[in-house]
Amino acid sequence: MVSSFPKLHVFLGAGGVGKTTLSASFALSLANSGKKVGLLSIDPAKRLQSALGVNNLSERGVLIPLANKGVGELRAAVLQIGESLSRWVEEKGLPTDKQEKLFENPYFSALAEKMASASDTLAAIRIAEWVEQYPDVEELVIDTAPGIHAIDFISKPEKIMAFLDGKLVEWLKWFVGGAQEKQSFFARALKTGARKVLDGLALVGGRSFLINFGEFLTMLDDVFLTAIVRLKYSQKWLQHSSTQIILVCSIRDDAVFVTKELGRILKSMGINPSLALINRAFPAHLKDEIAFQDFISKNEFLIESEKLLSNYLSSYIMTQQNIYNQLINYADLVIEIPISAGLDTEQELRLSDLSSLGDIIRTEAR
Amino acid sequence: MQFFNQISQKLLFVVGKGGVGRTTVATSLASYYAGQGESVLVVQWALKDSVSPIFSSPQCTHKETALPSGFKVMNYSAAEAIREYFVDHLKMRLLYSVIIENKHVQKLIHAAPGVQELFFLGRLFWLVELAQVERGYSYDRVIVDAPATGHAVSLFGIAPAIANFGITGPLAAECERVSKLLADSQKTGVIVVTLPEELPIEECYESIPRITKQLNRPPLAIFLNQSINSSFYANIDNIKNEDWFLNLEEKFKDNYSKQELKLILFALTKRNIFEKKLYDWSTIGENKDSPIPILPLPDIGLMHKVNTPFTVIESLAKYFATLT
Repeated sequence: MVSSFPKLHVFLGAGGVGKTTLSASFALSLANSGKKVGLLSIDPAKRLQSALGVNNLSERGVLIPLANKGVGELRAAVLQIGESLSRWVEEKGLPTDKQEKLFENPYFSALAEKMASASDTLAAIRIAEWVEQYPDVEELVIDTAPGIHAIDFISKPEKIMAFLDGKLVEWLKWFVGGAQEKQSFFARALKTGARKVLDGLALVGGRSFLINFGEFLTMLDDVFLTAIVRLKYSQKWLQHSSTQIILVCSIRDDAVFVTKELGRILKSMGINPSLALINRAFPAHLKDEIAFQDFISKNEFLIESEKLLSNYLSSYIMTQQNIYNQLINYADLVIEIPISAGLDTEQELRLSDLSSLGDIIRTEAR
Repeated sequence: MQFFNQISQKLLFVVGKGGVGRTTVATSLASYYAGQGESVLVVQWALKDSVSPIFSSPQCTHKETALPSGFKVMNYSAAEAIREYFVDHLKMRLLYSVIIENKHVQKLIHAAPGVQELFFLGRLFWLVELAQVERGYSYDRVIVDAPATGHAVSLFGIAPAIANFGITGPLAAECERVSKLLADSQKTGVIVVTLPEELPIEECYESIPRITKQLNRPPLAIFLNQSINSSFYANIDNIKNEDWFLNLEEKFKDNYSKQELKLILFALTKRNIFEKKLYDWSTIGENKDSPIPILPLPDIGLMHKVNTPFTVIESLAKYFATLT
C-alpha cells in the first residue's frame, strides 16, 4: 500500500439532486485539466453514460475518450458490490471447489445480492482496491448512494472492522473447527466464555445457522484479511486533510433536510465539508430584471396561469435563498449551480456541457 | 377513481426514490385515514424523525407517540426493537442481558447485514398482529415511510434470505411469520411514490418489476406527486403563448433573461411530458393486462405563494377525501 493518498472527492446528498451528474462533471473537468482521475458512480443514468461515450460502464472501470487529448485521463466505473465481492474471492486463488462452495453459501449470496445496506460499507473497500488497481490515479471522485445511508460509507468502516477483528469471528471459526487450536491457558479460559455465548446464540437461531455462518467466515478468512487492510487504508484516507467532502442539494425542502442531517453527522465526526452545491439554482440574469421582480411580487392576478407561474417563480427563489442560508452553516463554501439548457432540457447530453459544469465547480471552489 | 375504497390492507409500505415525497404521501395518507376515524400509526426508519416537525411536535423516538393531527408516529430503533423482541415478547431477559448485550454479539449485530432489517419487519408484524394480544391495543392502519427504494426492495427479500441461512428456533419462526405477512395480499400493500421527472420515472420502470417479483404481486398504485396535469392546472402548457407572458418577456432588458425564463418554464412544464411517459409505460408490455393504477397528486405548492409542509399535508389529505 502506498503511503501518500490520491485526492479523494466524496459527493453526498439526497436522492435526485444530481450527485451522479455533478460528480461525473467534476471528474471530467479534472481530467481535462491534465489529471489522472478515477470516477466511481452509483447507478448512472443512460443519458449520462451515453454522454461519456460508453453504453455499459463496467464495475472494473473503463477509460473515457476525452475531447482534448493530453496527459489527463478519466477512468469511470459503476459500483456493483456483488461483482466486487466475487473478484475479491477469486483473487485469493481458492481451489475451485472451495470457491464454488462459498458462492453457494447462503450468507455469501445474501451479502452479494440481497442486501443493499452492505454496499455503502463495501464501497470503502472498493476505493482502496482502486488505488491498487490503478496506482497512478491522482484524484478519485466518488458518487455515493442517495440519502443518509451514504454516511455508512464514512462511518461504517469502523463498525465492520470492529466485527471482523473481533472475538466472535474467532469463536465462530473455532466452533466449526476451522481455527487453529491455541493451547494457552488464556485461550482455554476464553473458550469457556465463548461456549456460553455461542450456546446462547444457538438457542435463538439454531446450531446450523451458526455453522453456516462460521463456515462462511472461515472461507472468507483471507478475503477478510485483505478487506481489513483496505478498510484501514480507506479510513485514514477519508480522514486525511486532502479529502474533500462535497454536499449536494437541490431546491427542495426534503433535500435540504437530508443535506443538513449529513452535515450534522459529519460535523459530529469531526469532518467539515469543504463545499456545498445547490444544483438547478435559479438562473443569474433573470433575477435582476425589474420587470421580473415586479412579476413575482405581484399579488393580484386576473389570469389563473399567470398566478401559477408567479407563485412558482417566487417560491423557487425564496426556497433557494432559504437553502443557501442553511447550508452555509455546514460547509466552508456554497456554490449555486444554475439550471442550464444543455443539462436540463430534452436535448442529448454533451460531454462539453458536462465538462463546463465541472469547470464552474472547480473555478468557484478555488 | 374510487381509489381509497379499494385499499383494505392494514400494513401499507410507501416506497420510492429519495426525495419524491414518501414522507409527504405517508403523512397525508395517515392524516386522511385518521380523518376517517381510523386509528393510524406512521412508522419511520430514519436518522431523524421528519413527521413530527411538520406538526410542530418534538422529535419522536421508537416509542409510538400521538401527534395533534390525530395519528401516531414512531421512528424505528434496531436496539429498542431487539430488546422488545427478546425481553417483552420472548420473555428471555436473561438471554438478552448475557448474550445479546455481550459486546462481541453487539458488534455482530451492528456489522452483519440484514439484522436491523429483520427486526424492523418483526416490529411491524408485532404492531399489526400482536399488539392487541400482548398490549391490548391495535391499529387500523400501519403506514410505513419506507427507506429509499433500493433498501426497501431488499427489505422485502430479507426474511426469506435469512431463513435460507439455516436458522431454527425463535428467529426462524420470526422470519417465517414476517414473510407470511408480507406475502398476504389482504394484509400488506405497497404504494410507490414518484415524481413526473426523468430519474424518478426511470426508477419506477426498474423498481416496480422488482417489487412485483419479490412480493408476487404488483404494487397497489403509483402515486404521482407534484402533478401539474390539465385536470389540476388547465392552461399551464400554453403559458409560453399567452399575452401576459409575451408582455413580460418584452420588458426584459437582457436577452439572456428571455431564454432563462423559457428554460425555467420548460423545467416546470416538462413534468407533463414525464407524466404521459409514465402512463404509456404502465399500459404496455407486462403491464398491459392489468395496468397499475396511477394516482396523480396536485402540486399544492403552485396554489399559493407561501406553503408550509403542514398546509401541503392538509391539502393532500383533503384531496384524498374527494376520491372516496
